[in-house]
Parts: sequence; structure tokens; C-alpha cells
Amino acid sequence: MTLTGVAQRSHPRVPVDVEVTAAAPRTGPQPSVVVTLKGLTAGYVRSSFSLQLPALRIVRGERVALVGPSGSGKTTLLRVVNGRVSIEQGELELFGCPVTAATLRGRSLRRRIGFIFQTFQLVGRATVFENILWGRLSWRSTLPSLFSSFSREDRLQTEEVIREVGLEAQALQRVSDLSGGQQQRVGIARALVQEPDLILADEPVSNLDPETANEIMRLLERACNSRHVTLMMSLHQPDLARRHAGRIITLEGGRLVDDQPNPEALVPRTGDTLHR
Amino acid sequence: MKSSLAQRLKAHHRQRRVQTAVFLVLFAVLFLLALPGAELDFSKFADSLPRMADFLGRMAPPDMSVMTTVLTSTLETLQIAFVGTFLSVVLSFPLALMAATNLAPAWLSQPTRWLLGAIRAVPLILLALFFVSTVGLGPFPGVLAITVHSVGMLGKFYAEAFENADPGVLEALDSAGATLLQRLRFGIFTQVAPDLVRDTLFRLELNFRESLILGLVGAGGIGFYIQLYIRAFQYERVATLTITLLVIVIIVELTSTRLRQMLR
Repeated sequence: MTLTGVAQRSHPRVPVDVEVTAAAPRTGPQPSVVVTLKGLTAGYVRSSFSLQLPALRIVRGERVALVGPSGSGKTTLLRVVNGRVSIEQGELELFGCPVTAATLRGRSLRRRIGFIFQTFQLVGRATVFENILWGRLSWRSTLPSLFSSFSREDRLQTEEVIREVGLEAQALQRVSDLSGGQQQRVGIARALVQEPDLILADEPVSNLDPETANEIMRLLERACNSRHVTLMMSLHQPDLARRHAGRIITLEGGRLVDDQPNPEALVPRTGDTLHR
Repeated sequence: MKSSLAQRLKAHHRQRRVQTAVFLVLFAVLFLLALPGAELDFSKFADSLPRMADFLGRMAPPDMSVMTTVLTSTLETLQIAFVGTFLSVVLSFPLALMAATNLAPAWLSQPTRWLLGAIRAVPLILLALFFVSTVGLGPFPGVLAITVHSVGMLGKFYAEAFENADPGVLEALDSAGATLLQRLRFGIFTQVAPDLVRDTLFRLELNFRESLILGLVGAGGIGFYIQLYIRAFQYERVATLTITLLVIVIIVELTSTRLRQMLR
């Protein structure tokens, strides 16, 4: 099993349909539909759970919250879109093109999808700067990057994102020395520096206290809005979903039970500069 | 429910006590079985004390005239240990990648582990004899023996370090579009680098101490002079050797310990 297998081990249903379909090129007009799911069934080996979604479309710039109790399929849906859980039936289209797990292995497509993890998943002994810079790996050819040879552009973008997430003072600190909120800022910055068109955030604030959670959500919202990046996030706290998501999808037992726009999040709030 | 928990705790503790008792009894039986083979004889030991004192007495005063020879051969021993460790690191790294169960498939990791285990099972002195017989006398067979001997341990330690790396980081880098080599470099190596350096320094320290015996079979280093002086009953020279070695071993150990402490 290769390194890919590490992540797949918990979800070892490796797809066999190797259909290499290029995703829409980044240049030129961007398709308005970012994610399309048709008749989707996905699940895990050794688990009776299966996610079943007849149809779902997410358009460019949307901030979508997936809510529902534990085991409802929120994380599974994000992992399906990220190619970590293979599809048993149905279709997945990203940026207007059908994709398979094989397509999703391609770097040009992977870099367009940023992922923010509940447990941050950073290298604790590396600095904030390094952790964020490594978000640029997909933009660099393998050999030079192994010797930490990154371009000036990579470094400038990293610095810019560090400023954006408010970690200038901590840039050269070890990530393990940071608080949970600061670590999640690093996680967000690592996703942003990829220059993604879609950000998937799996319970991005569930490990944080309410005040920090709100700060992080505002940061994420601002960052996505200013870039017109689509955001799909799973959230446990319905109030956070109401405050920060323009659309709320409720899942239960692997089924979609509600999908509603959320006018509450469209109203500008004092102190927030960017809202839909 | 409460009584059920109390009963389960009681049963659990009883099971623990039984396990401890069985372990102690087994250990005692093994010790008793081993005693005859070891021919433990305290009276013989007591009788030998005057001879030991005589031996040590003949070592004084140390003969400093051989200091140049001692230092040169100590340096050679250090060089054998250092080059052998370096070569073993180079060989251990790919073997460890193949042995790590989280990086390699079972059909590759399991045989690689067996290979590393087999290498560890061969004593250094046997390897030294083998290489002296095949490539001739001198430091080179010593380097080869140290290299092969260390690969068994370093390969295992490195593989364990790789296995302890947080898989979440790999998933994150994979999600960001990093290639396999990039994930290895930034996801694994960055995480476990302190462990790798610690293991390597520890091995270097061991190699220096173990390479002392290489000279006994003609594989270079200070061991050659140890046996030469002892056979010629030149105990004052043996004293010079012993003191020098003691100082060098302490310096190597202190340096290695300090470097390992600096890593976190």
C-alpha cells in the first residue's frame, strides 16, 4: 500500500473505474456550478452506513453548511467530493466536468480543492510559515520542492495569507506552541494558499471555544467571499450555520432531509465587511 | 448496575494478580533452569579476588609511551564507527520505507521486517570474521561489519518512527495535491526527523563501543592493540588504552546525549 493507502485504509473501498477525465481548465470563464451530485450512493467497507443523495448542485461562491447529528453523513459527503470515499453509484461533477476517484488524484484538480480539518492536521514541529508554504506543493515540481526550493511567488503568497489570517507575529513559531484557534488559522491559511476554487471544511470549529469558533468562522467567511471561493462545511452548531452559511443542507442517516437558503446570513453585520 | 461494575472490577483485578503471579513464577523457573548452565560459583569468585587485584596492580602506572599508537588506533576506531554508521543510514532508509506497515503493502513490509530481523540476529563478531575472511585484514572489513550489523537495528527503528507519524498530515498534504515523494519528505520526514537523528546518534554511540572488538579479529581499530598488549602481558599499556577509551566513550556519550536532548 502506498502513501495514498494511508488515508484510504479507513475507507478502503478503492474504486476500479479508472476513467481519466480532465476537469475544466482553470483559465477562461469558470463554470458557475462547482459541485454536482447525481443519484449518489457512497459508503464504507465493514459499515452498514451509506450516503444517498438523489441530486445536489452547489454553485460558485456559495457558502453551504452541512448540518445534522453525528453519523448523518456530513463528513462522508465532504470526503466523497474530496475523492476520499469512492462512489458506488451515481455521478460526481466538479467545476462542470465528471470526475472519478482516478481524476481526483490529479494534482491540477486537487489543488483546486482546499480541505480544512477538524483536528488541523499540521506538522507540530514545523513553523507556521512552513506549514502554510506546504500548501503550495501542488504548484511545484517534485524534485526541487524536496529540497525546500519554493519560488518567490510561493513565499510571497504565503506571507500574504499569514497576514490575512493574522499570524504575522507567530509566523516563525512552531505550530505545536500555538492555541487551537491559531492552529486552525494555519489550517485555513494552508488551504487558501493553494488558491482553491472550492474549500471543504470538516467541523472546522468543533474543537474550539464559542468565541474562537465565531472568529474562525468569520475569517473563513471573509476569505471565501473575497476570493469568490465556494465553501462546503460540516457544522455541529446550528447557530454557526445560521450566522455564516448562505445555504443550509440538513442530513440525517445518510439522507438529505432539508436544503434551504439561509437569508439570515445574507444580512450584513456590524464589524463584518464582506457578506453575500 | 453498580454491583455489576464492582464485580467486573474485582474480576479484572483478580485476573491482573493472577497474570503477575504467573509471570513471576515463570521468570523464577527460567532463572533456576539457567543456573546450572551458568555454573555460578561465588567461592570461585572470592578466590579470584587477589588475582584480580594483582592484574589491576600490574596496570599501574600506565605506559604513556604508546599514547601516539593508542590515539591513532582510537581515531581509526572512530572512523570505522562513523563511516559504518553513515553507510548503514543510507541503506536503512529505503529498507525502513519498505518495512513500515503504513507505507508499504504487507507483501513487501513483512519480508523486509524478516530480513531486518535476520540481520540483527547475526553477531557483529561473526560479521567481522566473515568480512575479514572475504575482503582481507584492515579497517574496511570492520566498516562492512558495522554497516551490515547496524542496518538491522536502524532499519527497524526508522520503520517504527515512520509508522508513528501522524497519518492526518499525510492526508492533508495529499488533499493539497502533494506527490508521493513530497508527502514522504514533508509529511513523514519532517515529523519523524528528531526520532531518526536520535536513533542514529544512539547507533553511532553503540557502534563506537562495539567496534572496539573488531580489532580482535583483524578488522582494524584499537581492538588489535588490546589483544596484542594483553597477550604480551604489557598491562601498563593496556591501562593507557583503557583510560583513553574511557575518556573517548564518555565524550561520545555526552555529545550524543546532549544532541539528542536538543532535538524535540
